[in-house]
Amino acid sequence: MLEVEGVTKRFGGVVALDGVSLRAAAGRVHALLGENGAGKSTLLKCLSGVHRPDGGGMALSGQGFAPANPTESEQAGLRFVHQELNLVPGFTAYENAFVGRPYPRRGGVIDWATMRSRFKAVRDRHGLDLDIDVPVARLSVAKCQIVEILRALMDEARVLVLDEPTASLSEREAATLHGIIRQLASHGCVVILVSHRLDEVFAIADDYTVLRNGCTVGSGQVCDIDRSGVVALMAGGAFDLERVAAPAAAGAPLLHPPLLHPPLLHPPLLQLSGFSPSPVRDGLDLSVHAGEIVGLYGVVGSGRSSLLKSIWGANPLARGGLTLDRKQLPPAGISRRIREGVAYVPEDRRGRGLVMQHSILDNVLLPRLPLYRAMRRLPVVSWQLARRGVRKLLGDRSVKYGRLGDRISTLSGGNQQKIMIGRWVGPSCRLFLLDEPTRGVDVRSKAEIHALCRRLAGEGTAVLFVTSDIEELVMLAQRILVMAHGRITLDAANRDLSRQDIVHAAFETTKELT
Amino acid sequence: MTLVSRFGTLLGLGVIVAVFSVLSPHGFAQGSNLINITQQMSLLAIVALGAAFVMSLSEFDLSIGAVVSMAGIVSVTLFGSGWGILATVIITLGAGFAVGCISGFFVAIWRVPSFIMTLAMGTIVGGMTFWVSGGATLFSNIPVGFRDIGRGYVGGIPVLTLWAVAGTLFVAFILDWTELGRRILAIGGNREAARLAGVGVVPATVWAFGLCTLMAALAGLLLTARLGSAHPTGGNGFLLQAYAAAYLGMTAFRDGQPNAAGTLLGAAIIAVVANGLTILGVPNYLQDIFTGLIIIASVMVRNFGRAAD
Repeated sequence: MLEVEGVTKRFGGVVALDGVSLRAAAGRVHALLGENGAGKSTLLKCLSGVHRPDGGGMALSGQGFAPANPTESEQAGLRFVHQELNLVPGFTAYENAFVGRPYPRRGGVIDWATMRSRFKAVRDRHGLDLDIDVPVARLSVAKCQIVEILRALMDEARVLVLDEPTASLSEREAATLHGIIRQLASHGCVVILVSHRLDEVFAIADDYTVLRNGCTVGSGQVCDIDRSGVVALMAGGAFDLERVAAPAAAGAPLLHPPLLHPPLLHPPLLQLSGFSPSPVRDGLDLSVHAGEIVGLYGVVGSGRSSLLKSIWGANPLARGGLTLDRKQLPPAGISRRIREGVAYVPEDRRGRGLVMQHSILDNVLLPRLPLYRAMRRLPVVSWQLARRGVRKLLGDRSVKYGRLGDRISTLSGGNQQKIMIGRWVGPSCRLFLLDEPTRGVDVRSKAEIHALCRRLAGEGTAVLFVTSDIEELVMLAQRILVMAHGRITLDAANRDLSRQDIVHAAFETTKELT
Repeated sequence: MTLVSRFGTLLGLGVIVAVFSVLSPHGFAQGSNLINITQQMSLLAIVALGAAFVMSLSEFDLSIGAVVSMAGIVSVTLFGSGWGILATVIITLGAGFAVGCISGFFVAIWRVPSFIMTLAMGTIVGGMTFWVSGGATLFSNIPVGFRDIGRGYVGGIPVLTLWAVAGTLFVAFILDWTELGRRILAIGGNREAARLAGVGVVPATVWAFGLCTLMAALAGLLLTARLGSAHPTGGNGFLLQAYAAAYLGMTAFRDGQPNAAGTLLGAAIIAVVANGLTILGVPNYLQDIFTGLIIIASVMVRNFGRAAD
């Protein structure tokens, strides 16, 4: 029995968990549900000892449980299987199982026979079908997932936490894994399942807990609730109109920005037909019109970021038709997109957006070097022109900075984000692709970025943005697209949609009449 | 970035020079010896300046020593078969450039680790150099006009010193004033961010490797001109010293980034230490030990500087 009672966790001024409670019983599968950012990951990190809760308590079989680090959590019998595989590809299953665990020894050297037989015993105890003698690189993703689970079960496990275990599996592989999960629970283990697939939850979970904005908003037995009920809990009941209407009175835009161009009157600026980020996925169709702000929503792993990146031409595996202003473009190739006036701002500023150890000046210039040539035909930088241009650009975006030569890492996240977007703004820009444009950004910068998007759209630029933040989606987008499992499950004008419609589509459940 | 972290390495050179001057006022500190040092460091500086291109990409090119040797053998062989000076120089530089382009191409397209790729290229180039030369030192048929590019003085300054200054200005120009240079540095800083910002990673990588070995080939030509001969392994010793100089250069002037002026400074430090210790009569093996310690010290200074940021 794992009990979590009133756990709170703050990061600076942000409340990530605000009194979360959860009771998971041994021998049962407990589903932990919630939208992006509801607090699931933070709760798991409290359980695994990565974070220490600021308040509340946890107990395991009636004994207080407060792990100070991941080792203590593991010693208490908690095991975590994450969505991403953490296996050494060249090692066999049993070699992988002993990574980070003391090797059995005989005469000072590793005892390979005992190693293999101990792992084999665990496999057989759970009755799993797995070849343990080949490198895991030759196993399917589903089998690798099984290796991960077996690795977690090498020692006595009291709680097994599975974070999106089937996100990258096919339906059939997922079904196999479902059987295994049920079986693990029947061995008397507490199984906690984090999943974005509601069909999976209803197929194998016994109990559920739903988090929203860091609070537990519902829990009980799965047989007592239906999908609509779960979706309603995740999305929140009636949408809080007052909260959004307040800034509207102060001159901010309306809750549901109207469609500017009725699609039938203008041909779309961007048109995807049978376009797919990878050859193994089905192609999808999508269109974006000039002057339109389109929001692309979906849960983590739904394929929205990879779609946006593929539209940008950064994915050599992309297939299918992509036309920009009726001109056919190859499925991959970034420089062509830039010439056609497309701009892209990736998520993950530090990893993929900026060169953190370089100066503000260098980072702003990078995509636009040819604009600041000393002579038009020579690729030689005029630093005088560049400094002047960059100062103006930063001034226009109200970026606060010391000197242009300072490292960009000295700026706040909001200012960095304004630079990432602002460096593309120019008269030739026709389509902006923004991935999580306001993640990790302060409220003021967020408002400025939203205002910039609206201004760009007002000038006829199309904006296609990906967000995990449903508030942002509803505030900014004129039209909303929702993706789930690599497909577009909803495409409609914002004003025609309710929040629940969006969540339904993101979790790919059909709306049931209640 | 503070004054100390910007000019600390330069200050280090000043301290080293001061110490040697006190220890050997009549040998080391003579004006003629100091000018001599600038000549001794120049070939190393040119090879190291080339290495700065690939270090800006956060890659390595281990073929540069072999390319220095190759350039000497290729040029003397061409002279032997009757080619003129200009044609010989162009063909030799072109061959050097091509070696780097091949490495750069494999590194950029197939993501072969540059360490392995250039080690292989260096081995291949070394083998071919040996093949062409038959393993012998070549010294016949070298025109006097060619030898003059590597010896003598212009206005009291050794020609080789002028080449090193020109090389520094060239690398500074490419890295700091051209779009290519800014792109190379951006790729070195964050390859994925540069790619997503539209930087053509493949051409920039090929160029950087090509320019690196071009500089090595230039050093090989100058070495041959100065010595009046070419040995099939005559340039191999430049490899490690060049990276030492370029690494020392990263500690100077710029915040841990490869740069031309710093690389020249790094070559100067290595040359001054070698010259000073020789004049003091310190055996060669101790010189190597000193040079190694200086490199370690510079790396630690750089890391401390970063940690303090």
